Amino acid sequence: MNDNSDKSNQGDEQELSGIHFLDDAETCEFTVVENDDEFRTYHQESQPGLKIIAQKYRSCEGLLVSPEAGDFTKWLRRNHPELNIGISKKDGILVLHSSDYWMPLVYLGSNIALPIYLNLVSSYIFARMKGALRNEKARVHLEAVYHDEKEGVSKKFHYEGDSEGLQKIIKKIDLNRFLDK
Amino acid sequence: MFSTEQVNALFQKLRLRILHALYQIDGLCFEECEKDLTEMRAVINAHGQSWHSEIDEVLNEVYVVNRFVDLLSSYSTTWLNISKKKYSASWGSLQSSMDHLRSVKKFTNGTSSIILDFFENQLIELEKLYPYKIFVSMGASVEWFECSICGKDMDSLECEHIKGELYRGKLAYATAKKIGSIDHVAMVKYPQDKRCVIQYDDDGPQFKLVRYVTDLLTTKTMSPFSFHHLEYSKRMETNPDFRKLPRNEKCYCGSGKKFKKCCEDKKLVEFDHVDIVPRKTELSNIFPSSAGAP
Repeated sequence: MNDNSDKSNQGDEQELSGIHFLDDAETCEFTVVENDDEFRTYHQESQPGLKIIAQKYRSCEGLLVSPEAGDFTKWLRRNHPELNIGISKKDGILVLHSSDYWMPLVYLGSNIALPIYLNLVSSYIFARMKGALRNEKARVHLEAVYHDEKEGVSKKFHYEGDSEGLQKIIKKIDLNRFLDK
Repeated sequence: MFSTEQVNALFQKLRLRILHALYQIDGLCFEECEKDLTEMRAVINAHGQSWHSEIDEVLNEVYVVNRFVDLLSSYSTTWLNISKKKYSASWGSLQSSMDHLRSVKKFTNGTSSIILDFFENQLIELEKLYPYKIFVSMGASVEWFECSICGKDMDSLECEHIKGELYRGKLAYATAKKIGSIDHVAMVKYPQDKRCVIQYDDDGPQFKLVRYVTDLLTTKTMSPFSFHHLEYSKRMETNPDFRKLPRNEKCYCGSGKKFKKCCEDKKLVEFDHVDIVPRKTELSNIFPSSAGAP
């Protein structure tokens, strides 16, 4: 994993005449957010929590939150009431009929480090997978914007892959942080 | 499997009927099985109504017993459709069986159960008999979702229900309200609903494997509960395209090379081979008529 648009794999979605084919490829990337005014404003308020952000999605009208936004928010409120969960203004909810978990774009507050957020997502996916058959794996899509203390910049973390891959990434980030100290 | 006294007693009462229904499925007596299941539903319904003021746990476990009966019903329909060569329909009933199994597993908190393990193993193997590998999925925008329990916006703070959880024996689900634009149709490997497939004719070559299972059933070589798993291997078989030519002549395959430098040694070719492996299953072992848990 490297900074600045280093993708471990690309081409997760191929487009051909308006039809999309999704494959199993794993993507993990960190990019520096250039236009980060909105995030900086949120971050400087030192909110103890996170904010779910609605986004433009392809040809859909208005700003939409990802399919898991509602369930994830409720899960956080029930299991982590200490977190302040904000939601940006939205016009609707995106519905994608794949079995993947499409997590919303989030801004991480000053008290939530990226690995902590990733652990929250991992626990949420584990809870959602209750009852799954033994051959069924969870595929996760997530994006989080956070403040990189070391470099003093805003960064976006993007991940697409299975929940086991996510666990490995959490361990890698933790190890990097440990080696940095 | 059940933690409340009332529902445990109800399940014990149903045990013999359930075992009888399993024997009916194994003997391909699907109509008789459906009669057993109808009677069971009447018993559960009668108990459910008399327990309407009971604590949440009891009502939630009644929901699980109902899903277990639904699982048996879909399972029976799957084998009925396979035996009647209705392969597209059997895919739908197989998916329903898997949905009910997920529900039962989820709300029994992963309690170890021989019969649930049996169904899980067999249904996963059965699924492999079908040609469906790519599914259809769509992307759209929705204004809001209505909660099935309170009718409020499920994603709002006013609604306290969580999708997929049980509330006094009722499942909370979300109904899309005000569907906006439909953005795309995608082809995916892991869809939300595996019923979204491109349909094939029941007599098409795509159902070759499951058709073989029909033959095994109708010739009484195998019964539903003895279908166990698939074994994959490679086998050398006679190449149907092979033509013996003089060694220096141009090869028949169109490569432009001489036969001796091309397909001379391709009289036998490697094919994928699948064995359907049966295993004798004693129904009274996977579902004892008087045990503490199924």
